[in-house]
Amino acid sequence: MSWRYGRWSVEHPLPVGAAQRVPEGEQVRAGAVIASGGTVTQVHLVDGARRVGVTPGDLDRVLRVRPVADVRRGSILARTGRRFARAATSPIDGRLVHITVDGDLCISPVVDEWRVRSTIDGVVTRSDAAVVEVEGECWALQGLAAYGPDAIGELALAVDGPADPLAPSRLDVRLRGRILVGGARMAAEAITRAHACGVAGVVAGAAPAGGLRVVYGDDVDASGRATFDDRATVLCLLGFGSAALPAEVWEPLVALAGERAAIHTASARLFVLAAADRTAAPASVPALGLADDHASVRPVDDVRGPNVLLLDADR
Amino acid sequence: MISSAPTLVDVAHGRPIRVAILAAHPGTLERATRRALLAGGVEVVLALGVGDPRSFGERAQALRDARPDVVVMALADRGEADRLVLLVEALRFGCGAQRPTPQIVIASGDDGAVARETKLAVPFPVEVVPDLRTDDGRRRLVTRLRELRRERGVLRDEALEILARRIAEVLKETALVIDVTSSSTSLVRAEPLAATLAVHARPLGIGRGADHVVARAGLDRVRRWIPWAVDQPTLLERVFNRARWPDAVASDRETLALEIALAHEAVAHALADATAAGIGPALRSARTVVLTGLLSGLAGPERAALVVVDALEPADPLSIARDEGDALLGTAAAVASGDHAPLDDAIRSGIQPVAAVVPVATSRRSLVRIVAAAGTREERVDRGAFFVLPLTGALAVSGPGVTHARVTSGPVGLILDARPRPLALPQRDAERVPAVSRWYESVGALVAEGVAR
Repeated sequence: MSWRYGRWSVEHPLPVGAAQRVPEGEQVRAGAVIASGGTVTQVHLVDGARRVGVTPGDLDRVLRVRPVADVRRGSILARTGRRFARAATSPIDGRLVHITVDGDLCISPVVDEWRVRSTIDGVVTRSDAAVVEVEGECWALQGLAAYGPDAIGELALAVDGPADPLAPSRLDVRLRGRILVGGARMAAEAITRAHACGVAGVVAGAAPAGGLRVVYGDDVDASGRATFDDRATVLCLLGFGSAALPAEVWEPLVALAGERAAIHTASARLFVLAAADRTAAPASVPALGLADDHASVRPVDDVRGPNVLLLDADR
Repeated sequence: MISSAPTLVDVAHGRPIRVAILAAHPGTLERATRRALLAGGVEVVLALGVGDPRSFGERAQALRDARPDVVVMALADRGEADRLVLLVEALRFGCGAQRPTPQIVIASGDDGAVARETKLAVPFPVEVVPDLRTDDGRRRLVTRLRELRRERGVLRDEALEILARRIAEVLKETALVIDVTSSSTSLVRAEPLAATLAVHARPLGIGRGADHVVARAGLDRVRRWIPWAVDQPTLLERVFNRARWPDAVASDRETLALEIALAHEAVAHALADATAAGIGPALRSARTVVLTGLLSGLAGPERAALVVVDALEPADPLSIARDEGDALLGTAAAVASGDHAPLDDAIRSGIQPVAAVVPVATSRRSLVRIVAAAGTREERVDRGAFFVLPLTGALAVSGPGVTHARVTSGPVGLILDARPRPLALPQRDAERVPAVSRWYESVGALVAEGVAR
C-alpha cells in the first residue's frame, strides 16, 4: 500500500567527526538531537607512540585523552615516565578525532558544529560513528526521491486539491517549521521561498527536475540526495515535472494534517507521528501512468499498459 | 549427445558493487586499475589520489558518502604504500564503522608494499591480488569482483564476452559487441586467438542509468543528438522520469529521440572510459560490430546504425549486425553455465546484418570503389558528406582515404561517412538541428512527428 502504519527502522547517517551520540536502548522523540559533532577539516598530526616511546598497540595505555575529546593548545595527549617524562602535546585548540595505525594523533580545529535529529519517535537500536538507527511505530508514505537535510515539523496543507501546484504566493513566515503538502508540483520558486520563510520541508507529487538543479546543483540526479547543510528539504512522491496525487495518497494527507511529521531524505519517506487509528490505510493501491512524452506522471484508471505501475510503499 | 536447444539460463546484471580507488599517483598503474575495474563491471564511485587537494576531513567524508563495497589500492612498491598512509587513515576514519565493512583489495607484486598496506588497513578485511599491470593480476581482480556481484545465473558480462569471442572465431576477424541496457553499457572486443578486451560501464544506460548519462555527459551533450529544438528543463524531466521508470516504453517521437540520444552518449562515454584505461583505440578497430540489448532493438536498425557510427567514430570500414531479441546472448549464457549449446551454428545463422560503414578520410573529395555481387561502382564522396547507398550483402571497398576492406551490408545499406573527425556538432540550434536532421534523414532514422516506433 502507499500509506502504511507500522514499525519502521530509520537509519540516520552521520557526518564524520561525531562527538556525542545517544546510546543504544534510549527512547527518543522525533526532533530530538541524537548525535552532534564538529566538521573535520585539515588535521594536525601529532607524533604519539613514537614521541612517548611506546608501540602503537600500547599507546592506548598511556593516552591522557580519548577520541573525541576537546583539547587545548599544550594539553598533554599522552605521557610516559615520571622524572624524565616523555609527552605528546596538542599544538592547537581543537578535538582529538582519530588515532592512526602508526600511533599518531589527529587533532582537528573545531570550525563548525553539526547536529542530527531523530525523524521518528522510538528506541535507538544502533549507535556508532557512522549511523544512529531509531526504531518506532508511525504512519509512513514512501516517496520517489528526496533532497536536502531531514526535516521535522507539523504537517500542513498548502494547496486546495491534489492537482494544484504549490503557489509561492501562499507561503509566508507563519508556516515556519511546518512540512507543507504541495499538490501536483512544487517549482523552484516555491521551494526557495518556502525555505526562506523557514518552512521545514515540502512534499508534493513532483518537482521540476530543472528546478531541483537550481536548488541543489547541476550534479543532482533522480535518486535523491541527503545532505546535512542548510538547504530546503523536498520530497517528490511520484515523479518529476508534474504529478497529481491520487486519492489514495491525498486523502490520508488531509486526514493527518496537523500531526507531527518528518521527511527522512535518505529513504525518501514521509513519516507522520500519529496514532494508528487517526486515519484508515487506503484499501487499494493507486495506479500511475507515465505520460507519453515522459514529462509527467498521473493517476490512471486502466492498470494495463507498459507505462503504468502500481504505487507500492516498498517500491 | 549434444542438445540442439540451449538450456534457458538466467542472464543477470548481478549485485551492483561500488568501488573506491586509492592511488599513489596517476600513470600506468592507475590505467591498469581502471581497465580491470571496467572489465569487472563495477561502479567506480570515488577515486582519491595523494595529490587530492581536499583536507583529511573532506576526504573521509567523501569516502563515507561514497559507501564503497570494495576499496582498491594498486601499489608499485613500498614507497607508494607509505605515500598512501593518510588516504588509508581517511578511509579508516570515514568508513571504519560502515556496515557491511568495505573489502580492501591490495594489488601489488611487492611483498613489502603488501605487508605495509595490510598493517595500515586494520580493521578492514584485506585481499591481495598480483600487480594489475599483469594479465594475471587483472584476471584475479575481475574474477573476485564478479564473485561479489554474482547473485544467480550467468552474469551478462560473461555471456557477452563468450559471445564476442565466438563471433570472432566464427567470422575469423575482430569483433566488437556493443550492449546497451537500462543501466549498463558494454563494449567487448575479441579477435581469434587473442585476449578479449572488455568494458562494462555502470551505471551508464538508457533506462535506470539515464540520469547518470546526463550527469556524466551534461544535458547539452545529450540534447545535441536530438534532431529538433528541445528545451533543457523539459528534456531533464524526461530523463529523470525515465530513470525512475526504467521499464517505460518510448511511445512517441520525443521519448524515442531521447533514447537514441542517451544511447549515443552512453556508448561514447564507455569508449572514453576505455580510452582513459588505454584500450580505446583497440576497441575502435573491430571489423564487425554486433549490437545486443536495448541498442539492438532500438526503434529500427537505422537508428542503431547511426548510434554506432556517431559514437564509435570508426577509422576503418566495418560491418554492423545485430542479435535480435538477445537470442545469441541467451545461447552464450547457456555456454557460460556449462551447457553444450550450439553457439557457433547460432552465430552463423542468427546474426542479422544491419549496415556497412565506410569512413572516408579526405581533405576535399575521394572516389570510393565498391565491388558488389551485382557489379562494381565508383562513388564520388566530398569532405563532410554522409549518405547511404542501398547495397546489401558482401562488398569490397577501396579508394583514396579508404582502408581496403570487405564488409557485409544489411537492410540499411552502405553508409559512406566523410565527416571530419572528431565529430563536432555546432552549438547553436539554428546550425545544429539542420546538420543532425540531415544525418538522421540520410540513414532513414528521422522520427516523424506523431509516429511511434
